[in-house]
Amino acid sequence: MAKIGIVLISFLAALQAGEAYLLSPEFSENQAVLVVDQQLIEVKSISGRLLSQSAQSMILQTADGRLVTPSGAVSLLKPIDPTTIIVSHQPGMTHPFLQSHQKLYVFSADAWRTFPVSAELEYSGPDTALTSAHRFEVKLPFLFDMNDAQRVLSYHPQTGRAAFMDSKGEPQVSQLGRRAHPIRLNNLILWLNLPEEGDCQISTLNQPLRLNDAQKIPHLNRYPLILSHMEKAWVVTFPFNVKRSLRSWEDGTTEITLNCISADGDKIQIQSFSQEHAPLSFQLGVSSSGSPRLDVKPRFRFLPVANEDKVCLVFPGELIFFSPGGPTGYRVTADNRHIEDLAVIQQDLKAGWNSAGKLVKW
Amino acid sequence: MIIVLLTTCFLAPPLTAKLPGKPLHLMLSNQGQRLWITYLEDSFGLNLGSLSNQGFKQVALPAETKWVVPHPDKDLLYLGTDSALLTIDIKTEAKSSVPISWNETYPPPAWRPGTLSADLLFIPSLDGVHIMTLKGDHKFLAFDRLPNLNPNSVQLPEIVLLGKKPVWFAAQTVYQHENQKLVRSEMPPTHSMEQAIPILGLKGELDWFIHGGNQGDLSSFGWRIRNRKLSERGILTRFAQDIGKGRVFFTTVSNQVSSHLYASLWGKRVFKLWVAVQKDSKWSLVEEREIQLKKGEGTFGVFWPGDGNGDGFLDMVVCDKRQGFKLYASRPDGRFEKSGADLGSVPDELMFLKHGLAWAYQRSNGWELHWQK
Repeated sequence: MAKIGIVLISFLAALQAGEAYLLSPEFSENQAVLVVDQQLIEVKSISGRLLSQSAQSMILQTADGRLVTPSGAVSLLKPIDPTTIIVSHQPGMTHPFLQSHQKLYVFSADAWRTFPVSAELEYSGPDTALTSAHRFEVKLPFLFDMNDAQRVLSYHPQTGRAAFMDSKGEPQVSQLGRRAHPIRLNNLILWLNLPEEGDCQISTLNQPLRLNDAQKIPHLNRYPLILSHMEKAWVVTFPFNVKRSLRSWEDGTTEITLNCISADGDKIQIQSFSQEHAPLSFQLGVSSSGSPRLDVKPRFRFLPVANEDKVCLVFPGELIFFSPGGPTGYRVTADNRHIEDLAVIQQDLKAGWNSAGKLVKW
Repeated sequence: MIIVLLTTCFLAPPLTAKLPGKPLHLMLSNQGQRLWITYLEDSFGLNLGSLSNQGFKQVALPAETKWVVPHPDKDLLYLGTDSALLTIDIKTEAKSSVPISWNETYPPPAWRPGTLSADLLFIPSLDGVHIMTLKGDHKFLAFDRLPNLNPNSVQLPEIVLLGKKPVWFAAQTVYQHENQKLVRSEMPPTHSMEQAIPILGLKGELDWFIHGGNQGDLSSFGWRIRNRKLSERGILTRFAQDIGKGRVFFTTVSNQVSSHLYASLWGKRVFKLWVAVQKDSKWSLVEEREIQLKKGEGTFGVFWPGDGNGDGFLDMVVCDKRQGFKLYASRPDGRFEKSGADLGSVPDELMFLKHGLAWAYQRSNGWELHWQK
């Protein structure tokens, strides 16, 4: 199963202050959803350009160029960095941050902390793909902050290099497998090892480079859909065999497996459920050796249900709900006009917010 | 054999530069006499150097440099910082500066080379382009943001010049700067698994190259140039165009599954090379050739990375296990020479450079860049 875009949504519990921002890259840049006491959800309009968003706060740039947070704290960009900064969002970060090509800046308690984390650059000329586009790609590491942003973990999937550091001392560096996908799970980090191993491991936030024994995830291959929600990781995987692939290629659907992963102490628990007729779309790509390759993308989405231990598969015209025990038996048919732009589903399962921050009912 | 000798004689030995890091991007100035190289050290930290007949010279950049643009005709370099546009004369090292104020929009990301056209600087940012005069005045025109390939990457567009006109290619859209505006051209309708690639003709007019076929049926795959009677079977594997020169080059492979199984068993790839040329606003095929390659280590395949014979048109380069690294020079009729000129061992990086040809090898102590002027 080739290139399947990774959708990442992280939903973090309410904080001591009673407010948390729901993270979703599916929201447009001038909207944010506020979760209050795990009960109320409201969509806030933001004036200014959203540069970074986390569960604790966000950083906006106002029309006159200042950097601000919604609580009014003001911090200018210039004192922290002479070079330009990449706009970034990451579910592993609980504090807002900005990344320059050599440094990571984390905003916590109205101050910036600086860490030696770099981004990687790659230039694609027009000769490497089936397009005429020239472009630069800036590759960012996965990032996790901990202990009130005193320490940070970075992991570059291209190289497998992981570094754990505070803002002063030498980073503690470890060479891990390449192309892993780490996600936050309570006070742990869950490492999905793609694609060769097809398993997962966990480490603690205090010792993030010490990974425990691996455990297989059914059908985990290179490009799963991943959702971290209510202290569980949901991973959609795609069973693969030649016969099934040929059938998928002909009818445009496949069988998928939903894996609900939770951790009890240092033990990983995985429950798996299958779902048929998940719609796919195909695109023709090309491998580095010049062979044609089918790039497969899911034509469905996978969304969290706000404040409930449930997730939802959004198929064209239909929503199917799952809880950690399995399918809930709750299915809703809905007009594609309403659901194609959904970002989050609301408690009663009959409404949600679209990416423009509007409440949608079906 | 005679052709091989002639082509080989024609090529002057390349200029070379030893770099402490990987070359990232190349720009030409001083009418093609000086090559500017941005390169990375330890995979981060941008550096700038220049290569000419006088040798390689590193240029110290101010720490706050966001972008660098060489003047196309003179030995001048423009540097952008948060607050100023600096001009550096390479020969005299004289510097001058005009202030820039970034008010309403976020400054463009660093490490991006801009493009100079008729005394205007075009500096791409994540979602648009800043167009600046040499006095430091500027305005911002918005683009559609490029889609991120995954959550851990940011894609930045590159502006290319069509004559003096800046053009930006997105996956399925093309923007051209005309009369102070960005004119956006939409992809034509396609069906099932078809994809469209914008091609620009001799006068900058837009056309579309469409390839693909129906889902579930590889035998339906082919390509066509829209509104023209050019179409054939095959699966597209590589595509390039000589922008503004009315030449389009591409390779296809057979749309029979059995031939791919055979290819993967023996490590052989059979590509069909096609060249379409525009004449009197019509596109016609001038080349249709079979190329058999054997996959080895490193760079592999057919590319059109630059102009090695200096005739103003892109040449073809082939890398494989049997032939090594060969240049097939362009001919006046748009076809490529039948035999290739040897360029040495297969490079680790083939750099895109419209005028001249450049490639690089990774050595134990850094990188070695070769520039065929």
